[in-house]
Amino acid sequence: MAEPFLRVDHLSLVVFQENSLRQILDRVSFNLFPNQVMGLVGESGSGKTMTSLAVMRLLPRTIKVTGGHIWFDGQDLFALSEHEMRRVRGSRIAMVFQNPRAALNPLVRAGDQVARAVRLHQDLDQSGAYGAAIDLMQRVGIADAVNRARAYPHQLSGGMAQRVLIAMMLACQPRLLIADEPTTGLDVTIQAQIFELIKDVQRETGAAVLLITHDLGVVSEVCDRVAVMYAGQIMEVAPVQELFAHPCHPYTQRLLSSVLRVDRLSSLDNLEALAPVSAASSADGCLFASQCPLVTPECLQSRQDLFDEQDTHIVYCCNPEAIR
Amino acid sequence: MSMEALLRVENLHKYYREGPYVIHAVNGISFELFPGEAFGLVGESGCGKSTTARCILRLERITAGKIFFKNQEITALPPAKLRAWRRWMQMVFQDPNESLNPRFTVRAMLHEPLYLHGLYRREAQILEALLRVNLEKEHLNRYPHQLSGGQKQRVGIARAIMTNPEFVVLDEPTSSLDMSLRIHVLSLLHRLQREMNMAYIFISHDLSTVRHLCSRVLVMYLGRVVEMGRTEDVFNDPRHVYTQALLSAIPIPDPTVRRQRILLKGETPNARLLKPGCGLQDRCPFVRDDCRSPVPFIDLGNGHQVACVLANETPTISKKTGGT
Amino acid sequence: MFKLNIARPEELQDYSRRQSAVNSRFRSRGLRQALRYPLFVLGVLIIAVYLLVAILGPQLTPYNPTETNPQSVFKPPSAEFRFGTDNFGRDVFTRVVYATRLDLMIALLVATSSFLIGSLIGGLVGFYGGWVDSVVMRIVDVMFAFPAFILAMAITSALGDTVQNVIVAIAAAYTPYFIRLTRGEMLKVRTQQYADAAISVGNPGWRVMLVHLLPNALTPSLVQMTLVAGWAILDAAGLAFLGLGITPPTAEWGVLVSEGAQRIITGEYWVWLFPGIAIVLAAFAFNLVGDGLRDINTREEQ
Repeated sequence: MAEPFLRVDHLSLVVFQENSLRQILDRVSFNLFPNQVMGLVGESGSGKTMTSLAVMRLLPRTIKVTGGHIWFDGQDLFALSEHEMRRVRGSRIAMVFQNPRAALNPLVRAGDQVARAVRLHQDLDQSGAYGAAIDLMQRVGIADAVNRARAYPHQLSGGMAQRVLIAMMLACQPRLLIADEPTTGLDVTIQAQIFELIKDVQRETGAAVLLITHDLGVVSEVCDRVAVMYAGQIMEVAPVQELFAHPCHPYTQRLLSSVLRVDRLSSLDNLEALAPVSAASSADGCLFASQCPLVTPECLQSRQDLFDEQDTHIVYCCNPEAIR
Repeated sequence: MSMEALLRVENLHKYYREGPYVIHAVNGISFELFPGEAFGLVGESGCGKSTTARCILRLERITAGKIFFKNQEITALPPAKLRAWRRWMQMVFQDPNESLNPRFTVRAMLHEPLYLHGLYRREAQILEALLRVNLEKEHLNRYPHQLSGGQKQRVGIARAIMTNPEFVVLDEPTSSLDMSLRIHVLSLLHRLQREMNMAYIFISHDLSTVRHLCSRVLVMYLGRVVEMGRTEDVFNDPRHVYTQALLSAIPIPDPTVRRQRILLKGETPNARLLKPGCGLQDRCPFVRDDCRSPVPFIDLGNGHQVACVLANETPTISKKTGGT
Repeated sequence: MFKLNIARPEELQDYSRRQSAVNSRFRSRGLRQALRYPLFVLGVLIIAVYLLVAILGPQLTPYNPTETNPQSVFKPPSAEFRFGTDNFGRDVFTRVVYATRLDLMIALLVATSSFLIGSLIGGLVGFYGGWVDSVVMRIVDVMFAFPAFILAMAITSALGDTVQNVIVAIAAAYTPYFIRLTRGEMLKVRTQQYADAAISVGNPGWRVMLVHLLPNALTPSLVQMTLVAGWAILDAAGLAFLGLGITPPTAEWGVLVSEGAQRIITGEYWVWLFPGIAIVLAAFAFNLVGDGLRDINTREEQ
């Protein structure tokens, strides 16, 4: 099997909050291969955004890494100096955020911002860079790119602004793209367009994509592989088809059954709602134990990862009942 | 059994003046609401659904059109008289963080509707409403900033049902909530509706939610009605191109489902530049000449109405495999 | 900016302990918060002292503020006359103490009356708008064209030299501030969802404005109130110094300073220095409190 492009290995983060240490991530591990879209799915508070920030090393100062490593293309990201990391960010790993208009400079026209990104990574003069910027904007599906390039961010719609950001990102030709809920607040028809765009970009450039979302529909349609998170712990990792066809971890099963589909009716009365993520203690055990139908006494003490034969489907559960 | 419509909206128009421009937010919406039914008002951002709801509750001044409540015209009632009718029509607002007055305790907020409408047995009624929304007595003395998002939203719901209204307008009540909370609130709303025999006007951009809660639905685009009918008809057999595009854009959490996606070109046009004819004419892949003149409603039976010239001709484009 | 914080498990215990220690030193959260703003606390303490002096007043000194005493003219500070005596032999300390009562009263009355009247007007016009709003705001604009002190001077000259007129004059000069502030907040608050909620529940307009919106629109005005109190002291003293408003023999800081002004060259510093310090310190303290309140509020919003 090929070497993983991105390897997150037993990553743990803590923060000091309300007079105690709170575990944000607990031994999070997963692999991402080139030319693959990997989804990180979970509810809010599950730690998915923190994971992505950790990969970019953009964690706020109050958060401390208490364990684990992140290997990117063979390099230990935690061993790099801030200066070296800055060269990785943007050019080799790029991130697309939730609120596109907030990520753009409100005082600079869209086209100029893309042109600046181009100049950072290619040796072109101003007019050459501007021309390349227009090309990029057309490539990401911005109609009437020449006129749109002269617009300021506040004059752009949400979807348009997100495309501008993706254009800027393309200018840098990253090998890994992290997208953190890139379509929050965008209309569903625009959402479909943006995800088509991300998939096109991925296919063209062969980059790896880490997609963070809470929407299982998006996971099903966009991702190749998915990791399910709960309360800072990874519960299950599997290829997308596998996860929906044979969800092994009780949390995954609960998650899937609690989703309302637009093409199928579920009974509102029988839906088992998930209890919200409770503030975690710093135990070593599984945080889903209190709600888990397969709980064993061992679950409170430690966590085990159970693999299938091909090493593609990983379930973090102590109970061998989980894998059938 | 024919029922008298509880609420009748006739040809509602609402225009805003913004500098030199006129924004046509609502352009001739007509519909009826029957006692005890859950009626969904769906569309993407900017379609005018929230504005329509605010007009119905007279939170905005109506430019043209009529509104009848129990056959009494309330369009132009003076504020003093209108207030008496308000106890029968209440609203649950979108953002629980903004719709509760930060200086009021929960008790004060729940007490006020009773006080204003001269209803008695207040303490008992307040407690009853509180318990109906799964809150506890101890919450009565809390201020909004001491409550969680889900609790705040439930206070908003309790406030709306205090006077036993005939119908409640719910403006995206679950949009700002977590996945796990969403289901709690939805099943709560479902139960309340049956217990108290209230009608709902449920406004949402989330079609899965609407499908599960509402028996009839109205799809809006650019301030106009695009399609209207029973939920099963509109969702299983959408006839307007926009409805089909909307439904096909929603990601389904099931990799086995194969669908054909209808992609609309471009983005929703500005509500300032309104052309006669169908609002979708610039984006529709099947546009014809007669789409540019005012589009008549085509009645497909059972209350299923479509404002599209192609309603009868084109077979449903996005027939899905499987699903109910 | 983004420093990577790697902590070894042993370090975590220490870190945790240190943070808890910091938090537990000040049990009350309010106190802990207030102590983050030492200048604010300083301002509050100074005003507290002034209030104490004002309240205890006569008990702090055996002398009479207006009784003249020809034998003790221009005596320097001593054990007998703590701040010395003035040209009429009156004890300066006594005069300063009695002046404290008068000046604080002026400050508080001016601040509260201009706050109440200005906020009410501002809330009303902000909520209802219309032509009344335009008219009121134009009047406010005209008043803003004049410095507050000039306005106060004009009004006092017109009305006459009494304490009440001084209060009225200065309050009138500052009312426009509150009108503008509260109106601005009201415009903001009016568009909040809870305003709509109040209407849809069945509140008549005036109740929405008074009970729901106005309390939320007053915060900047409350801050401004403390600042205005400080400015009122300066204005009242300034007017008295110029011979308007409060006149001798009434004990008022400005009056005292004007009486001592002639002595600057001749060297009897104690006649003008102590009332002068009283004025400056009081205004300074109110400023600290006002600024501190503003900072605390801005922090809270963040």
